[in-house]
Amino acid sequence: MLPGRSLIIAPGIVAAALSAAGAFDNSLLLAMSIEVPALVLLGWSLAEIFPSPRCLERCNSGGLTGLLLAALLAALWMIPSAMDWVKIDGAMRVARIVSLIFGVGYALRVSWPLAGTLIRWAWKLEAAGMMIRFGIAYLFVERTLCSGVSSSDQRAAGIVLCVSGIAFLVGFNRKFMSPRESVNADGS
Amino acid sequence: MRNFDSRKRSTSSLGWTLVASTCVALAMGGSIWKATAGFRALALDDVRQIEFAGRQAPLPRATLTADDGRHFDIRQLAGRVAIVEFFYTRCPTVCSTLGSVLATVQREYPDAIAAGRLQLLSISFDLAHDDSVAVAAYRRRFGSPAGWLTAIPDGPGSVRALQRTFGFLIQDTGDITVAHSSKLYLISPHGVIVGAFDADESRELSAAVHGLLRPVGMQGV
Repeated sequence: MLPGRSLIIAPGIVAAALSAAGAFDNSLLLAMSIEVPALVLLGWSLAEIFPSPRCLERCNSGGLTGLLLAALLAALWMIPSAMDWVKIDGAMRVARIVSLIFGVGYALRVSWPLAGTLIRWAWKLEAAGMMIRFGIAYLFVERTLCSGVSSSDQRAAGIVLCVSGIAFLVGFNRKFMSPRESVNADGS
Repeated sequence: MRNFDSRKRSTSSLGWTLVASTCVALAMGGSIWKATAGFRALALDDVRQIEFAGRQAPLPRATLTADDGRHFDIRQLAGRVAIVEFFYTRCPTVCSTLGSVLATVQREYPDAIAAGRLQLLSISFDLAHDDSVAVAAYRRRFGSPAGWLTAIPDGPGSVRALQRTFGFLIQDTGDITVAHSSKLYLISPHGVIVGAFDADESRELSAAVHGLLRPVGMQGV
């Protein structure tokens, strides 16, 4: 295994262990800025070590199924009620960790190379939009949405999500922002 | 021939992908729909409130010990209208407000309470600190024992069963404050949860109690 890869996997495993122990339960900020990205990166790295079986690729033409799964799962685990259910039900906690690793990180890694330009664009826009939508909800809802989370923590998580969404949109789509590179990317 | 095989494989793969994508969209869309009560709420308390109003949930199997030492199953509430709250005696905030609302209901419906048609039930979830003496003392701060029972679940298993059905959370935030949901749950005589009310919805709760008591009264039971 490459040392760089273990640098990503090790924090991911630590994040999964902390998540299983409920270490992120009282902070939306830590959940959104550390837990979720670490688990997704862990899944992404695992996909590089264990490529998907051929039978799964048959159901993932153009990366459509995997990217759809990743987008919808990520949205589900950003919903405060789903995050609170995790605190009540141990099985839901396991489902959240496993699905963020494999349903989001792993699925994203195996599906991205298969996806065409249009599907990639649609996914990027949806991912950025989702972060901004939830960020706005966390920022502007007057009450706390998750149990045990302070309103200041919720607002901070909202800011992180909004900034991340905008950065994601600008960073990944800079080809679109630069007309010359956009033309080159089209091959014309 | 090779082109034909390749095209056939590609078509077959696309078909499987469409089936798989549809399954993913339905399963995940359904989960998101359920987690938001049909895109109407984000917080668990609100989701459960909408669910209880629309789809009545039966009481779980959970045994409790009342302040008089009696063991009972919460499903034994069936047969009368009941209001259930969850609290802990060291609570510095919302529990007192909920207790005051229950005391108001107790004063508002003395006849129904005397006839055994209305039961108030306060359940402490703090198994480490609360006992039957403590919960009885807690109730005395708000009202009389008439029709108002305080109880403690018989172990963590009963607490979890109650949590899963009522959808309330217990969370130690590190200091003395334990974050938990602040709802009053209304139980119909059929033993199902028919509503969840905030402490500031005492008027709506009272109206709902009145609505549940009236048909029974009209039948002369």
